[in-house]
Amino acid sequence: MADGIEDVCLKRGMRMTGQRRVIARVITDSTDHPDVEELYNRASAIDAHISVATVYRTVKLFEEAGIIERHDFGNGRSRYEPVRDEHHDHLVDIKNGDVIEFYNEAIEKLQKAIAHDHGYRLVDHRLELYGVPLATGNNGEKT
Amino acid sequence: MMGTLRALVIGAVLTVVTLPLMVVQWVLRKTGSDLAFRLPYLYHRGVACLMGLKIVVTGRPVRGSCLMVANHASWLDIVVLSAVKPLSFIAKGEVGSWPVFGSLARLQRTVFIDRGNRAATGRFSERIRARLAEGDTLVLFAEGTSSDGNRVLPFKSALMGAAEPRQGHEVDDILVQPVTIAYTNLHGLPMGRMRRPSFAWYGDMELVPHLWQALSLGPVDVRVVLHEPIALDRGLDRKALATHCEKAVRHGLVRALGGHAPDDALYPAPDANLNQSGRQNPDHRHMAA
Repeated sequence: MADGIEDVCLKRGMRMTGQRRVIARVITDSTDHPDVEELYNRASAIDAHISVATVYRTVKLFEEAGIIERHDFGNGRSRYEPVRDEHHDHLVDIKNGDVIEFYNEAIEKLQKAIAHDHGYRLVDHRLELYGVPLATGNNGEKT
Repeated sequence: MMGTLRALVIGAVLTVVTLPLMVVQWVLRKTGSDLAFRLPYLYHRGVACLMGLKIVVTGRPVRGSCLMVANHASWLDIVVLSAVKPLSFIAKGEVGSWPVFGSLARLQRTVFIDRGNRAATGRFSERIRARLAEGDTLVLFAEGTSSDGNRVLPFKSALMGAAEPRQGHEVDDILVQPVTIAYTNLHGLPMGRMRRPSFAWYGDMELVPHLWQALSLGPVDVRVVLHEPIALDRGLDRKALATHCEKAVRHGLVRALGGHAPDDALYPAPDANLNQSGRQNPDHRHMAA
């Protein structure tokens, strides 16, 4: 990513302590939408003095500042990703929690058309798909 | 008849097992052994098993220290939560003077509150902070009393003084996790609002007869919902925190008793703008400009 969270924070005049810097870098480097526990694992591997509470506080700070985005993918654990300019939607693997980002032109157009049909101009949307992998031979339905 | 037999057997086994283990725990405490943290946890897992308590946990316990803020319906809550992870409780001072149960409470390093005066409240907050800093997990029953298990009573923010940033100090590294305890089924069947008070212990109920009744009834399913923790932060006062915890716990109780899918009972982390009373995080003044 060209413009890391660190740079955005600095541009906005946010005080960047060493620990915030580490957490910012970890989030920037993560592509798997980690939750706080996972961020803590990665951040504490770099700086052992970082506490879980600090990670919670810092992600909240970044979220308030609109630098990272929080997702609730249904298991009660918030997961985070850096806010980016280009839009994408999410497909969540409910077996292992993997998150796949996708962009589908047809869906984007369809959403606009639906809003339009109801007399609205679409300004925002959130789309989350939940699935299980096909390859396991289990299509997720009870037999 | 079966019920009496059940209560007799469980009561007898509990007595035979508990008394020697109390001595063991006392020795472990005296010698400062790490096992003193594990033994109550293992003991309560055994008790839950013996009593036929089936505990289903949704959500994840915090690794390491946290302040669990829970609803309270019964003395069974002690067994249930102690079986989730090694932890201690915060209890009103009079519990310490109960025969046997007072000793058990002390052996599990209970923090006793004297709710008499303001000075005592300050010291109490200090003790909680110190224990959390040592890495302990503490349970606060924030209703300040116990309910009939069908509802969540208002949370008392006065008890949450430890979970508030201190003037002139760095923010303490304290995590607060709202926890819902819900007694859902008896003999595998939903117990319903009428049956629940057989397990809930509230008002002026006598302890021993209630204990006997609960032991004689049969296997019970309990749901423990561990909501997403939040960290202490500037601008997040104890009132806002108490309100959030109460909402989370109630959300969990309603859904757990209502038979929703397990994950539905989890309450999401507060919105970023939970910070109350217009006091902003110092970092945000720059960003607003």
